Amino acid sequence: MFSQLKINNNNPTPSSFLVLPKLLGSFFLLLFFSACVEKESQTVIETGKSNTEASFDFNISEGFPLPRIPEDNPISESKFQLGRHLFYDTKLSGNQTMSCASCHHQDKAFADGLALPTGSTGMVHPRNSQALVNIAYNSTVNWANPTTVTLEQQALVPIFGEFPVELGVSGDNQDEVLARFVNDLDYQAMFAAAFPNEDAPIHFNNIAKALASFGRGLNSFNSPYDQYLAGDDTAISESAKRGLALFESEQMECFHCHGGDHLSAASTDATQIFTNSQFHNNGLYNIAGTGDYPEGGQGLYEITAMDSDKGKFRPPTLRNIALTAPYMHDGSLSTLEEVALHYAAGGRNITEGEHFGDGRANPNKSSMVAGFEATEQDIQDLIAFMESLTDVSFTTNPRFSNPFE
Amino acid sequence: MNNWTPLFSVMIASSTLIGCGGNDNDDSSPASETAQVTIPFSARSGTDEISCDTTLTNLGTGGVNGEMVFLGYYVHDVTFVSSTGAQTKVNMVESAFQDSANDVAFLNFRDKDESCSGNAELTNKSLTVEVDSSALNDVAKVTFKVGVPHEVNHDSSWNSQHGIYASGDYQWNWQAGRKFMRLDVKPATPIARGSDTGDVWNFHLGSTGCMYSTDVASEQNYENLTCANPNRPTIELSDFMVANNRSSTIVLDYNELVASVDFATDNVNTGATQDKFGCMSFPKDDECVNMFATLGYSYNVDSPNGQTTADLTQSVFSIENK
Repeated sequence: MFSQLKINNNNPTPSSFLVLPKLLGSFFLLLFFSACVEKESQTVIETGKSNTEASFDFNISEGFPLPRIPEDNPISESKFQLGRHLFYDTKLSGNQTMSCASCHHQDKAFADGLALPTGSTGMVHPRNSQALVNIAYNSTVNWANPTTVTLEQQALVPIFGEFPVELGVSGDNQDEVLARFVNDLDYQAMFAAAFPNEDAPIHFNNIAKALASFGRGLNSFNSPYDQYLAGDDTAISESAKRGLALFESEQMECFHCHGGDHLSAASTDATQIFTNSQFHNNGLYNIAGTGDYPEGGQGLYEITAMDSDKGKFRPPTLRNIALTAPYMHDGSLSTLEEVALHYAAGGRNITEGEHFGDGRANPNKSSMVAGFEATEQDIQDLIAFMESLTDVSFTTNPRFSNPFE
Repeated sequence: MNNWTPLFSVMIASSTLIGCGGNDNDDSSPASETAQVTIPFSARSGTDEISCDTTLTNLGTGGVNGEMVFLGYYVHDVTFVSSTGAQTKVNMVESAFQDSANDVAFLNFRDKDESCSGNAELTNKSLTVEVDSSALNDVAKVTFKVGVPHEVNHDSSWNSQHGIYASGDYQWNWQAGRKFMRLDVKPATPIARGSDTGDVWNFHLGSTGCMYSTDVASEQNYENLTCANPNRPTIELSDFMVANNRSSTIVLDYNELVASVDFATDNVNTGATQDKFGCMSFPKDDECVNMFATLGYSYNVDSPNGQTTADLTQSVFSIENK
C-alpha cells in the first residue's frame, strides 16, 4: 500500500509501524474525547480567544472584521512562521524542485505572471496561479470548487494532487518528504512550537494547518483606494475616482461580483453567518455554441456535473489585480484593458480555432455580464481604479517574504 | 474447505463489549463467545493472481495484456448472512490495515511501490474480523461495502489518525474525499485519446457531486456534505462459508471490471473535464458507464448531473471455495 509499508528484509514490520500504538492512542482520544484535541484552543477560548487573535498580526486595518478561523486550528505566530517556512521550502515537493512560492510570488501579490503554471514533474496546470490576497476571507478557496472551504483543505490539493501533479508528493515519497522535516532541527523546533500538545507533530495535516495559518496572515488593506476611502482625497487620481464610480454603477455592474471589503462578493468573515459562496460564468467561451469551456477548464461543472454549471468560477478579489496578469482562470486575457473590454463586450467571441464560439451567448452567462457602452476614457478610468488597488506595503512586507533569503 | 488452519484462537468476550456489532441473531443470552475469522481476498486477472510481476492478460474488448500500477481498495460494513437471512455484522480487529473504530479495512495487492517498479510494498490480502461465534453455525452469504463511510471519507483529520488513510495515493482532496478503489493498469500499447496518448487506464472509484447542504459558514463540514453519487457498492456474495476460523476467498477479477473496455481508445468528451484516461468517477465520463455497471451501478451520463444508481448486479467480485 503506502510508502510506509515498505518491507524491511529482517523485519516484516516497517519501523514506522512502531509508532502505531502512539498513533492509536491519540486516535482513540480523538474519537471519544474529541474535546481533548481542542484543549489548547479551548483554554484559549476560556481565557479570551480574542486575546490570542488580537495579539496575532493579521495585517488587517482597524475596522475590518477578522477572517473565520477553524476551531481545530487556532491561529498563532508559531504556526504562521512555520507555514511561512514551509511555503518557501522546496523540501515540500517530491523532487525538491518547487515550493508553494514557485507559483506564488510576493512581488506579484503571490500570482506568478504566467497564463498556466507547470508542476514539479512537468505537467501544465489547467488553472492560472491565483493571487494570495485576503484568502482567509474566501467563501471557497479554489477557482471553482464548492467543497474546498478552508485553507487547510486547499493546502492538501497542491501537495498530493495527481491531475495535475503540483508539488508531487505521493504514497511513493511522502515518508521521505516528511523525513526531510523530521531530520531538520529547525523544523523540529518550529513544529514543536506550533503544535505544542502533539508528541509527533510532523505530519501532512499539520503542514496544511501551518500553511493555512500563513495564508490567514496574507492580508492587504493598505492600497491607495483604502487610503482614499479613509478620507485621503489625494490618494488616488481623478481618473481612478471616475473609474470607481463606473465600477459601482448599475451600468457596468462590476460591484455585484467584485464588491465588499475584499472586492469579491464570494467572501465571508468572522462576523457573518453565511458563506456567500458563488460561482459565475462570464462568457469567456462557448465552444460551438454548446456552453462548453475547453476541456480541463469547465469550472464548477467539474464537481457538480450539471450542464448549467459549465464555465462558472468564483469571482476573485480585485485587490492587487494590476500585479496578477494574465487574467481569468486560464490566464487567457493578458491585460486589465483586455479584461475591461471583455466585460464591455459582454463576453468574448472566438471566431476561429478549436475554441470557436461566441462566449457572449453562453447559456450559463451571468446576467451581470450584459455588456456596457464605454468610451476609451471610461476604459482607462476603470484601469486606473483597478491600479489604485495595488498595495505595495503588501508586496514588500518582509513578514511575508522568503525566510531563507 | 480443507487445509484451512485455524490462525486465531476463539476469544471470549462479553457481547456487551462488542455490542456495536448489530447482531440480529439476538438470542437474549447475557454473554456470548466471539470468534476471530480470517477472510481471504484475492485479485485476479481471469484465473491469474495479480502481482507486480505478473502480466494481466486478455483485458477488455481487444484482449490486450497489461501490468498493475495500483490495485487497492477499502471495504467496510462486512456482514455475515445466515441461510434464513439473519445478518451479523463483523468487527474489524485493529491492525495496520484495519481501523477498528470505523470498521474499515484497506486491501492492497500491489507488492512494489512506484507503479510496481520500486521497492517492496506490504500487501494486505485478508481481513481479520471478530464475530459472534453463534453466527458461525449458519453462514450463507457475506455482504460488504466498497469504500469508506461518509464521515471518514470527508474528514481529512483521519489522514493523520490511522495509517490506512495516510497515503496520498488514496486521498482525493479536490473531491473532498478519498478514492475508495484504485485499479490502475498499464496496457501493453498506449491509449489514444484525440491527439493525445496515455499509458495508464485508471479506475478511481469515489463519491462525486458533493455539496454542502448549508450556507452557514460554521456548519460547512463533512457532516453537512451530501454527495449526489455516493458510489459505495454493496457487494453480496452467496456460497460463502466459514470453517476453522477461515472463510471462503473473496475474489476480485479485474478482467470483469474492464470486460467492455476498449483499451485502445479513450473518448474525448468535450464536456467531461475529468475525463482522464479510464474512469475517475466523473459523472459524465463515457468510460465509466460499463465499468460501473460491473460494480452494480447504472451510470446515467445523460441525466442532468450524471446520476449513478445502484440497480444492477455486480460481476467483479465472486466467492471461491476450494
